[in-house]
Amino acid sequence: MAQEYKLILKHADEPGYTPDIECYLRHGGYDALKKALAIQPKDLADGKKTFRRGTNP
Amino acid sequence: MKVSGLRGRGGAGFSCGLKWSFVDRKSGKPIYLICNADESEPGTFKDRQIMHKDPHQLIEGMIISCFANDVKLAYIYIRGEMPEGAKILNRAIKEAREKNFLGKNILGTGYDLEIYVHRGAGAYICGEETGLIESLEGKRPYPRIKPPYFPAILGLWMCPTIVNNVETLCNVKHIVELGGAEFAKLGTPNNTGTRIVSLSGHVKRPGYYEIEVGKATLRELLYDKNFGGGLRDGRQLKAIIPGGSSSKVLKAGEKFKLKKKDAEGKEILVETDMLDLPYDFDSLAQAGTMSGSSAIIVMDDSVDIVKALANLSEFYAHESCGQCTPCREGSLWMNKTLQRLTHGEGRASDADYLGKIADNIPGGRTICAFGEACSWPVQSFLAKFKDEFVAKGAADEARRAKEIAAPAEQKQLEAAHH
Repeated sequence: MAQEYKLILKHADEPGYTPDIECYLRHGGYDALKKALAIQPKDLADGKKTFRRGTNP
Repeated sequence: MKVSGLRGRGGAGFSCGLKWSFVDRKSGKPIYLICNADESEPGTFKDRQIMHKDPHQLIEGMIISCFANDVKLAYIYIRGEMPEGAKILNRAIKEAREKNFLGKNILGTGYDLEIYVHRGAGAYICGEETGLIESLEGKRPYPRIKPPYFPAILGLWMCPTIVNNVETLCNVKHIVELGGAEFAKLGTPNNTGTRIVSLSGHVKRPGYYEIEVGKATLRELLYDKNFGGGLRDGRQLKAIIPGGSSSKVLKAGEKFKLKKKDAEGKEILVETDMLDLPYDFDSLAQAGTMSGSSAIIVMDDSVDIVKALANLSEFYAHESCGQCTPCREGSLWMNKTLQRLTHGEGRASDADYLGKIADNIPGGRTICAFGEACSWPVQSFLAKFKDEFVAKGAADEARRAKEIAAPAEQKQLEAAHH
């Protein structure tokens, strides 16, 4: 039987989840940003390379 | 981004990595990013959920996208009817700035970024990316002609601009988190990731459901107890609009030939009932419609199909921006015809008449895709339910003929009495 798969809405509908930043940070918020910022800007000149690099650190 | 296979969630389903790669990085001009939060396609209500419940996810996705594309200034264009969403986003941006996720020298990396929220004034056409850009520049949102005005080259303030949907930008965060290859394992090949489906109409459990793209069929979305939970008791399915109001309607019981790979990897055509179509970009395209903004509108047998189309048509007639003649005149014309059909003034020939108008709007005769958007429903409703339009018009004609004849009969009756 088909199931819902929650990626974007993983937390949004949990009871007690609020839209403020503290709650978001408790759920691992902005970790992806830190990961992305760690990629060297020289690789970013060509936007295509960016995430391929992120994939295989 | 390319590895992830992410396709835009706004409606067209265009590859997001490809869109980014089109951006002109050598112009020396600043690059802008705009989050399209206009969400004006009737039936769609997914972006609202994200913005209301998890605004920071969108902001994080935006910051990453901006960093990847060397963007220093980004906008969220939110539709005017969502003042609450704009408030929530502004609060979230303020919080993010306080934590130095936004502003100058983000987390000590030397990267600067500002995001502004811009509220629209409630026009459907502002969801069209070039119309949105005009509106953001403070002008009337007349879409720009492509070429030359591809946003990736000549966008906001004639600078290279990326316009992405809310859900698309949220996906960026997850692609970084999971890695492109891992993300691509979600969903089905060429239809990766998840989609939030807005399910509305005559089902027991309307609402939004996030699914892996292509891992659920229309039947499951409508009837499964995890999703729509079936139609109202005692009702039969009549039609489904599968991807927002401008996508072509599917009639209950329709069969399509879907391309599939058999055990030896050869392509074969498999006859598929419309309910067994997997809900993804490619399958629906093969069925001659689209998954668009992933809004499914379900209609059961209580629906008067003529009235349903008249309702849609009224919307498009109201929302045409009026820049191109075929769309401005055609959308109003179709609406007038449909309104007279629903108000008892129709003719049996109206169906053909509508078809003729609808066939002469799209196909490169207009600057933007609105021409297609307003004629696809008319074309598909007519193709699949023409007899109902003819019958309605014929009934109207018969009734009017009777009314005209009635006074004469009355006189004859009176004469006979004397």
